[in-house]
Amino acid sequence: MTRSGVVSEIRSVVPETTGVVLRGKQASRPRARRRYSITASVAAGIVVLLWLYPFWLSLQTSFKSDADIRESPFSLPLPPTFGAYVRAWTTLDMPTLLGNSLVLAAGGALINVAVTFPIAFFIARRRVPFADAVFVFFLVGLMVPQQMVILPLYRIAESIGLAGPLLGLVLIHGVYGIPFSLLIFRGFFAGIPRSLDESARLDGCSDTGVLLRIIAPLSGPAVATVLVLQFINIWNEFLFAVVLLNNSPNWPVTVGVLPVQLSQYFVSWNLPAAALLVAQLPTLVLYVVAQRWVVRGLTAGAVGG
Amino acid sequence: MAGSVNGSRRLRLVRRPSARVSLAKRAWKAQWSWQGMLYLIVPTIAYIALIIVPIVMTARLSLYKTNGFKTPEWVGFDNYTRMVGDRAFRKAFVNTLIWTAITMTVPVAIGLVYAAVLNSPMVRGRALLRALIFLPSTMSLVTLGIMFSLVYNSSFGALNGALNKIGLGFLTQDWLGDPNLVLYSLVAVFAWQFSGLCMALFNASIQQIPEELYEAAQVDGANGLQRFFHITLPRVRPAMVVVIALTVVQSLRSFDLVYVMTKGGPDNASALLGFFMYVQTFVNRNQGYGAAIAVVILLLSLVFAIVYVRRVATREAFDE
Repeated sequence: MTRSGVVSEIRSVVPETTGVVLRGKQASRPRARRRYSITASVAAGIVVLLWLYPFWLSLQTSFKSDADIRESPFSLPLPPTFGAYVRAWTTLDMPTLLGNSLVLAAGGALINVAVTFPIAFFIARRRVPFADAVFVFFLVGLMVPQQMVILPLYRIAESIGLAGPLLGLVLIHGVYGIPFSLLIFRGFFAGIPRSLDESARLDGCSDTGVLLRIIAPLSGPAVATVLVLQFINIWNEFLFAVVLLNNSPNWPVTVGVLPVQLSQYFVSWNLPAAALLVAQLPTLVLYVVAQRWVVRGLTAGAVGG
Repeated sequence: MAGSVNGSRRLRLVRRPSARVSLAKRAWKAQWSWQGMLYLIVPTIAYIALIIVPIVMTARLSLYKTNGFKTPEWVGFDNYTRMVGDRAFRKAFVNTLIWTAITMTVPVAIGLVYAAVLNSPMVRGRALLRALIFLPSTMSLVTLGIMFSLVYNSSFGALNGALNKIGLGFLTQDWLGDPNLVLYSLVAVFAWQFSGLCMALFNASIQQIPEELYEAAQVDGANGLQRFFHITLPRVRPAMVVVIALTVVQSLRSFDLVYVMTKGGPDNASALLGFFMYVQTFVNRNQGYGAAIAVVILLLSLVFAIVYVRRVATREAFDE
């Protein structure tokens, strides 16, 4: 069997949910080509564009001056101005906020993958006692509302004087993400033929060796998926951040961006639009780059691989 | 990549009659991995320390009266009986039920329609359109809250502006200021975001349906709607259970949108339990009462959580 043979075998066992590959196979049927309807396609396109209108609105608002917005709120930003971005960047201390979010999201995602990857393998192979019970035990965490754990975490943070709170939150995020990652990894490992790692063990490879030499090289897509999803989840998290980080130098961008909101006292239109786009830009870029992994992973995470 | 070449060679070596594989499998099953158990130690301790213990602590705290400074005072179930007489709690409770009733239907239905339409071979660029619909699901509710404040603002907001422009000026509203309306304005944002995830989940399920079924139905003269109701809908039912359970569990804990857009106002009209818990615990420092509210949220989501975990946990038992 060739390398591409393995790749296609892995493909066939990894649930393909974005449809690109699946549909690609079907498109080879001669009939599929002729069935496009221009009317239906255009209608669907218009509906989707209207659906995303709030997003386009923020985008064009962020490139206009406040005077322009009041005069013609729906016009295109021509010529575009970047004043709002400059103001958002400087008044909000964006470098610090984005840096904190990056530490939280990247640190949490890496810790999460480091601890979940091995245990998911041994649970998937039932090589630990009561593997299924352990799996369900971890899965319960997926269903626990943050409100149910936040108060004790806050009391602990309060009692230890908030020493290094950013690091504490990194750990909490890393652990809180275990159930979701476990679900994705376990589903992925269940799709890798057992014979692959068993034969390696017969040849005298240790369990860690199997994990690093046989399983890890095949797990690139799954690891990337989990990293990306955990990064996005942690980046977007709000309740833990707003409760557990109560001094502003440690705020992530979800908390730090709030002061730009519209209020009676502070009416600027382009500033909140620009600030929210800057705050969300890293995950938007990540989504554009890794779109298939994001959607496939979220789907696999929700329905269990 | 060298690893996968190596892996493929091994794959060839171990191809053997299935009977022997299953024999080997049975032999391995009894062998527990010491290294695997070692790997399990740290995550298990961290998980128990940061999730399980806090759950127990919150449940225990709900039986005490404390503001975090004085020593907690045992009050039994007073925190729970207090809810009955608390107008603000009742409002938040009813709001949460309305919120959940909407989120378990509207985004699920919209997501299903999107998934069905954007899988039709008649539509070109389906993958791109699906990716666009999914986009809000990757954004935080904080930024979406700021975004929709621009839409909903009563004097300069885009929604009222658009209504005026197309001659429906009489429909303009104070979307976030009207106590009868504000909850629905907020849930619309949640639904807008969640429709994308629902679509992705249904999409995965719809793509499992064999194309031949649709072709056969078409030959028999079934139109698009009939194909949807007689082929798609029955086939996505298992996915729908998961989607609804997930939506309910997510919406019962909703907090971000309320915090960002209205802070529960005007006059508690948009308070949800997830937000009310925050206010009681961290603003009013009624920590015992806040803990009791958290327990209520957990209990409300328990049924759906059990359904969800059972579905997800047993799903793979079938595969193996």
